[in-house]
Amino acid sequence: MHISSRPAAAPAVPDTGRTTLPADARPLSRAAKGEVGRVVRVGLDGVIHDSLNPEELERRLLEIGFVEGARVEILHEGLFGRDPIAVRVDDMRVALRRREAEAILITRWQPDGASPAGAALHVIAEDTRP
Amino acid sequence: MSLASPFSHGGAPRIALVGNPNCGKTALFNALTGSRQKVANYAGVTVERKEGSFTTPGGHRVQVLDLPGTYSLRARSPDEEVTRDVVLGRFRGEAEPDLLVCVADATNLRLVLRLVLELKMVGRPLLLALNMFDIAKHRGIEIDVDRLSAELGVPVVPTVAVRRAGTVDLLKRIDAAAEGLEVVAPGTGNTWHEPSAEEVRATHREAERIIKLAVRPPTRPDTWTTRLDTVLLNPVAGLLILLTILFFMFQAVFTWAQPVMDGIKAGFDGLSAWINGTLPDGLLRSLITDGVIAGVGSVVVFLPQIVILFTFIILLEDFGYMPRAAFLMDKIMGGAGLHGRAFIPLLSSFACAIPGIMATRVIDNRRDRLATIMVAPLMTCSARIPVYTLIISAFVPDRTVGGAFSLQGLVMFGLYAAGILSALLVAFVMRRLVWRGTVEPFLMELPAYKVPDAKNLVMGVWTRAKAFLQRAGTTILSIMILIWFLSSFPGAPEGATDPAIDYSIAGMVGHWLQPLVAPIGFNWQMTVALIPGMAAREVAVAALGTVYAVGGGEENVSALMDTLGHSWSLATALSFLAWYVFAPQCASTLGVVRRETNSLKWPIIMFVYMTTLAYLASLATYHIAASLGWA
Amino acid sequence: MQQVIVGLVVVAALAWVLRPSVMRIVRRRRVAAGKAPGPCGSDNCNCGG
Repeated sequence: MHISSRPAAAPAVPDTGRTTLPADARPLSRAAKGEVGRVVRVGLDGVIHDSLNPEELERRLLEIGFVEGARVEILHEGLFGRDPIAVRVDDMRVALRRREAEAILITRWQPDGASPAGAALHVIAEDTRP
Repeated sequence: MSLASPFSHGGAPRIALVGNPNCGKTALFNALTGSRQKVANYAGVTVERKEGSFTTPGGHRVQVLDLPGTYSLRARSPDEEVTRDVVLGRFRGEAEPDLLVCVADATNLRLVLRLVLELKMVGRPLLLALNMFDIAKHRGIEIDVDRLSAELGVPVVPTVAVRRAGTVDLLKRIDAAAEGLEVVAPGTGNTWHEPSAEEVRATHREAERIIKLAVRPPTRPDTWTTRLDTVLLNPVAGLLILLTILFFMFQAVFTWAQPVMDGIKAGFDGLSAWINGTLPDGLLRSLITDGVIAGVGSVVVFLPQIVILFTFIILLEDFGYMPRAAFLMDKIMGGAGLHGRAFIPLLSSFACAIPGIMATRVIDNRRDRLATIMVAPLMTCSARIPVYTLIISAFVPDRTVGGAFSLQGLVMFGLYAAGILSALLVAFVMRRLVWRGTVEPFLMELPAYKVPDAKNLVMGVWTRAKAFLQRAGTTILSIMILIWFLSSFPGAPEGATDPAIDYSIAGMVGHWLQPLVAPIGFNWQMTVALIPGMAAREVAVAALGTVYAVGGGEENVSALMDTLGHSWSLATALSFLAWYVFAPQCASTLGVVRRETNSLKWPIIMFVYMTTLAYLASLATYHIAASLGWA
Repeated sequence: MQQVIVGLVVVAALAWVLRPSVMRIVRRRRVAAGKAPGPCGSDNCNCGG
């Protein structure tokens, strides 16, 4: 079995260069019931995970709706070890284990979408219907 | 390859339904095909293949294939590999589809639009069916169908699978397509490749953009699901409700099925008696009554249990409860290396391993499914009960221990517990030691609750029952005939005094195996009884009656109890019980495993490992009991 | 006469049980002899695209 090989000295949230992460970014796996957040990064950036290879895990999370900019809310927790968790992702619900939720970084939800990623989304997504 | 007219090859046009899980794809499939459908496995894989046919209003005969649900063509499970390969037209033995119909849940478009964009790259004629359009309307979701179609570059048809008129538009499109009109996205070359994470992100953004343009979010969002989930997913109340549902299900399988099972049994007995009265005594009569009727009867008798069990399973599935049950049980099952979804099949196996193994189809991952199939027969099925009852009442004194507990009841409970614990242990060893490495992630959508549709339920139960009866009529029937052959040939010589089975191949094998089973305290009569007991576990009771020449078989159980009480030691009896906890004494189960896994390898592995476990358990039991002076 | 019928039934049952394995062996032979395409991705696969 793979052991998570994240070096102890490295920061809990490695900066990837892909995006500048907000200071309060933390894994979804540490969120408690009722918490609302916005996804800022999906994937572990090569850090080995004991579930699947990181690239595969990243794509699976993306495919079920965990994309950067999505609104997430922890709806329910399991009885043992508060695992797994039921999460509202935008307008759908997804169940996953905290082990996999480790690969999703979230930040506090701001309804106006003030972050760069959120803003970019908004520009593209402007409603142009008459 | 030219695809000017999508259906130009002359044969019946072939349509493949693709879509996310829970999008109502199967309901649409049922609506299109009615009862003209068949369920089987794809060649070489354990994936269920559902095919049907229908005639369009325009008189075109169309074949439809209901492909396993997926979020992406990038296959992650054997089911999704089938979907990918069929869509790409490279599944061996499977014709290329002429038209892909992507089925979408109109109330939940986000993920399916990404799939549509991926399907577009395949370059096959494509059509998007917006299913559950009525529910979307009811919630105030406004979908600009023309805009959606224009942005996607794919024709879009609203459908309501549960209503008769709900598929008219779709059928019109199919008719028009069959006549060569440009009503489907024209076929182009295949440019699909496995998308990278960045490409998945890009497609997702594109889907997001189209949704913003063409879909207005619900004005009356689905609050029922949220409200129900606060109770059903509550860590404590949710688990209690789950246990209550399961208890009720278990009770129903046992009690409601009983009268019908008695009826079926009486029917087969009557048929046997009639044949015994009409045909002259001889080989043919024995084959028909002891082989075919007794064998098939012993399997068909489980049909009521299977129907009730699948009624519950399909109801819970259509309602949207199954992913929730998996959510609640994941941590508990995960401890043994099993997936949360393995829970229902294992529970079903308490009634009978056959429906339990059939129910493992709810598990997507191949290894998780195989691990569940392999441990399902360790659950104490109802066919073990007659054997347990016989031995316990013959050997365990009927007294209370600890003031309140019946000793016989405690032994019975211990046998159930031994089955459960060993199943968890075997699963643990398989998933943690044999199939080491990646742990399949638990990642699934919790769909909105829906009121189950009666027509869909009837259709679902009917296809399962049909598949079971077909199995009973082919594979299981063949195995029963072979067992009959082994227990009847060669026949007893003239003037034989011992029962005929002694002289048969089974009898010879019994005598021949005797030195092997001597260490676990079995005598040759027991070994001989175990061979016809392969047909079904409870047959061993009747077979013991035959070898000990106790007349009346199962009806005369008390005489048999006396005989056994005199001729077996307590150590032998306990060893026999230990054997029955583990031994693969059920040809039907092995037959179903062969059918479900499509290979002889898994039933053989199952037979070998269960026999080994049974032998070791009996060996330990016999020697411990003997050292306690019970020999 | 009875023995012939019973024998045929037993042989048919045995054939049915062994059918998938026999088919697989036959298929493998044919693939090896180059008379049938192998599974996708294998050396002797001939699927297009």
